[in-house]
Amino acid sequence: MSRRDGPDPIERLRAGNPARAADVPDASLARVSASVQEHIVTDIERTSAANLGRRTPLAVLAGSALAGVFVLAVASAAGIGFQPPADDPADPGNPAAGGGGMAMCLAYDPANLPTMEVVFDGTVTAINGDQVTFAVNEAWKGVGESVTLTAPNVDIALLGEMPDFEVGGRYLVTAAESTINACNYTLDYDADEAADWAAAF
Amino acid sequence: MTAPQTSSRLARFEQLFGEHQRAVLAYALRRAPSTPDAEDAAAETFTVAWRRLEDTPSDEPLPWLYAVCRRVLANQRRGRSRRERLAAALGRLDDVPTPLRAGEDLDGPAFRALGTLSPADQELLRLVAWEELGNDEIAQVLGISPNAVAIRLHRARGRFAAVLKDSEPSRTSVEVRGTQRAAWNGEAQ
Repeated sequence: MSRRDGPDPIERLRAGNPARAADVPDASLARVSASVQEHIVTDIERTSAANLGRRTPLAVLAGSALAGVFVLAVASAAGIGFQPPADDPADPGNPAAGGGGMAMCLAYDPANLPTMEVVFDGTVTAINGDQVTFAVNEAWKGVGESVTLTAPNVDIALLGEMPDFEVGGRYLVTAAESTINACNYTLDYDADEAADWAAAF
Repeated sequence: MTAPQTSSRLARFEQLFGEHQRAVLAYALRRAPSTPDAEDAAAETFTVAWRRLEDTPSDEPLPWLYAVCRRVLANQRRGRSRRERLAAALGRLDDVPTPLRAGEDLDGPAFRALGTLSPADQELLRLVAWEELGNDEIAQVLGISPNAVAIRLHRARGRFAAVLKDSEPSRTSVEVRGTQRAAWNGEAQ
């Protein structure tokens, strides 16, 4: 793709793609398949046992079906230290709609920021477990010169962003009930983004 | 859940897995610090898809899968950071990175330039260059609006071009591994 000011620089990244899908090693695919198969069979067996109080032919049926699904997986099932995902945490501080079902993120739009309880630009001064203390550089709403907030464990299926907080790092932060919001409403600091946030107030 | 329901669910998952396993694993390989980490991330992504099969888009599931994989990798990074801090406190570091692929004709200045950008800019550019996604799909991956993607991408492309332009006089194609690893792993330099 060419642009008015010359070739698109992204083309150079595209040419240097370090792992094309077609080149993914079969051995890696087999290990992934084995892990997934192991998890699903266990999941089905557990569900069946919970429903019926004992292991049932359903689990056998499911296992047989999966053997057809993951034909590459059988030989290497023990090779991966797979950890099943944690249960979904209720996360009332996040701009996620819906209760009881799957959390859904509110689409990112700085225009939503005035509806948030706490909004600021801050630099992390301390981290103690899940407690993150910020020195506030610019307070847009609901915060003073310093604030300590809880950084929640974001569910992997909750489709948003949460920065990796580090002491000295600068972030654009929203929060509710002393808990930092996910769903792209807490970001690594970016001057252009900060200008958009400021413009929302 | 009845046996027919389970069979139907398995059939749908089989299709999802069969069609997208390579793309998801490639996505993870491009961002994880090692092949085992990438394999773990891809496997966890599909176990999430199994759990959330009813929520998985049936028409265009790949951006959704990328979004899940992105969260899995971020969680991995957090866990790794905690382990590394603990290992450093104990005076040892066992988590030796796996060497990257050798012998590739990669564009050193481009990777170096990418590594100087913010993590958000890097991920946007990777999604365009390596996953070859459009704005609507990127919006699904990042959980933001297509309009926000367009704006951020315009800025990211400009910043990338500026850094690249500044680096051109010294352009070489060797000794870029450190920057490549940071860029692939989603870490800013």
